[in-house]
Amino acid sequence: MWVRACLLLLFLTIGLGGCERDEIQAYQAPKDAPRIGLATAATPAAGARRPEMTWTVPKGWRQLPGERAMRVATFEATSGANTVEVAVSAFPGRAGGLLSNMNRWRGQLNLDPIAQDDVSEHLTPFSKGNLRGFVLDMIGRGGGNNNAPKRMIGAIIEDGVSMTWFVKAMDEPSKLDDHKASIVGFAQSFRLAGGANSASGGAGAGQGPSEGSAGHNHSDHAGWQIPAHWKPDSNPSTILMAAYDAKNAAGEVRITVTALKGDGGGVLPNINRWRNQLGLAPVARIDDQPTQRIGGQAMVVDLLAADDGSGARQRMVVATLPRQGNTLFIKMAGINEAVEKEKQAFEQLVLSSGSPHTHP
Amino acid sequence: MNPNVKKTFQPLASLQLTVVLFAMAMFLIFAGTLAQVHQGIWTVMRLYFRSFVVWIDLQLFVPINIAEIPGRFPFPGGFVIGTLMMINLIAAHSMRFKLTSKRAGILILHMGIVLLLVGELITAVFAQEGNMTIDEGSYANYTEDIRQAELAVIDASSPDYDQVVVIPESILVDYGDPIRDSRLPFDVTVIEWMPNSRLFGPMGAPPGLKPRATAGTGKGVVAQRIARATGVDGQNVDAPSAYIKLSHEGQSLGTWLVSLYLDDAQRVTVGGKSYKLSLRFKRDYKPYTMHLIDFRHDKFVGTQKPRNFSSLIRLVDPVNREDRQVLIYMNNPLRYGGETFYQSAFKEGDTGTILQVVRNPGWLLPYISCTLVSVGMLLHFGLNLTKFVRKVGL
Repeated sequence: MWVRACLLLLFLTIGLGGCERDEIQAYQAPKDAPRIGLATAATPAAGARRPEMTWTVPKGWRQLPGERAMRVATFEATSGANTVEVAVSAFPGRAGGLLSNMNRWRGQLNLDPIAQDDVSEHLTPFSKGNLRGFVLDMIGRGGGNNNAPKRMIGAIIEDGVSMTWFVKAMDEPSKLDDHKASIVGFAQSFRLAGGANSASGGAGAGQGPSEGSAGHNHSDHAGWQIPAHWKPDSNPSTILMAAYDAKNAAGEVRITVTALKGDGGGVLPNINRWRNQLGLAPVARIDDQPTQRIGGQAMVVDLLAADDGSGARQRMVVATLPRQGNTLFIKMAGINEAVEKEKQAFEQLVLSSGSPHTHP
Repeated sequence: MNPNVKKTFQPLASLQLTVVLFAMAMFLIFAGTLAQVHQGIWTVMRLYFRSFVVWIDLQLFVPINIAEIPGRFPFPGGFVIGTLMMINLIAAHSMRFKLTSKRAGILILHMGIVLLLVGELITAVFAQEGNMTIDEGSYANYTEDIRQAELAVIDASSPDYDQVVVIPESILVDYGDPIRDSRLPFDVTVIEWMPNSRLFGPMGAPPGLKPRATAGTGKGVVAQRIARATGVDGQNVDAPSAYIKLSHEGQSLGTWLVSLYLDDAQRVTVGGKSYKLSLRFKRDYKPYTMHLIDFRHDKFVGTQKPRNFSSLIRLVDPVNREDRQVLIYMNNPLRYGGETFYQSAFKEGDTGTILQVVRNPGWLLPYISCTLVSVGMLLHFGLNLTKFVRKVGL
């Protein structure tokens, strides 16, 4: 009896073991919702560019020559006889988030990792437009033979477009004393070229399901019908194709043009992104959002923010039209009355921008 | 009962088997507890208690600073021991116990235990648990199982949907041979799988580690394998990475680094068509959509102590014609469609919410079984007490 029981046990153990293995699956899935705050990264494979970040180099700093992967710039910061190296690097997306990056840096100082709840205790936040930054200052040990104390002063900056930027200096604790103010000031001087870090970015600026800017040049918009009173923005964000500011009796409006690869992230996610920008609830289906067709190909969405009692309701009119494998987003935003006055000119721009005759 | 049948099933009803099974269960729990020093609780659950067989390292029983002991041995996992316990109990009742009123308490008690074992089996096999992360102002229509990863190859060319092929983690970990499937646009060969990892820029990498990816976002990035998250080391979730080689019709598409840390899908172009490639947590798509209208993280005035977390959700389910707002907050989950949504966590900067979504068809069974066991014990001891009182003439 005993033997039988043991044999049965052995049989079940060996026979049933190793049965757990999943299979490759294929299915259709709805497209992901757009990420708020950070657009999808422009990957090198997509041919997209890293957004241009500019900064103010503190006095006494010298940029070192040479280019290294992921390293955007390296500086030699000098204060008297005291010199430390400050590195600037950039990674796509959120690069794992604050916690993992903090713990990665803590690992370099041989410090124990911290938990999510403790992150805020170790960081000093700052912000500028869509840029969100965090300064940290940690002391640990460098490891190695002497295991000498090491200090790291760094900053993590999320650019609101597609990258996370890191500023880092690691050296002997006393050496970094002289440099802390300049390192922090340097990190806080970061800004996206063309002002894309302003909170009122265009279709692809700051927020959106962008698949990466499609790349463009000025010849792309030859033949567009631009009213004389629309003033071109000579220094728009790097991800904008063009931007105009218009002023009329009712107020000011801003018109931006962006070309995104493919479908630009899908119609419904974009509609909900724009609705979100005006504080409107998202819609579940495209059919729930009234749209209008212009010139056959262009789809126009006209959104009006709820009345908040201020007397100035924000309005946004966005036209999307396919163009040479990309999607063109033409967006006009401002207070309702000002937008209304520019709507006819806006429609002219939409019609002219989609014309195959003007864009062979 | 037919004597032949009785002879066959008698070993299963043996009391010795009961004792052995209890001893084995105790040993399994002991080993599983020790294993949690180095492995997360859910890994241990899967390997030790929700498995048919477990390979137990000898090193578990001796601290490595005392002696290094290589080797491991197989042992019946929780499924085998639990199933045998259930069979043993049922067989014992069928063959040895008699159905009398005196035994009613024992019978009910054992029914409760059988139900408890069945409940755990149902939970292990059918329960699903995932996280739903929603940005404020956005929506989500899938949950992520943070204990399992998958490599997703996505054809996003349709404007209405994504055509997705996913390779589960269980296939990725068993690497070496090319993974071929007619639904995949290219062959995938996993060069190195890292169950938990961290990434470095080329200048920050530990000595000896160099970038290995020749294509994609991971070019210039170094991935390092690290110990699995145990939940007590500041990291609750494993973040796997892998170096993979892609090839199409014998032509190499390069070596790619895929990682949970690379938030955004990489692009692979094959035959003029672009595919997204992403290592991500295993997804479970839902027929409904949850929109996050507002997330609140209230604190006690003048302190950083959290007072309340709540998510104002708009639930949209076109199939069941649901479109309503729900407030989910701590200890007030939403129960919908057989799933329970708990307020679990939040995104950095309070920019979004993380809901824990649990589907467990066996959730009621532990309550019923505990009630049965309690009633059985009360009845059994009550009957014995009555008998004793009668006997001594009190």
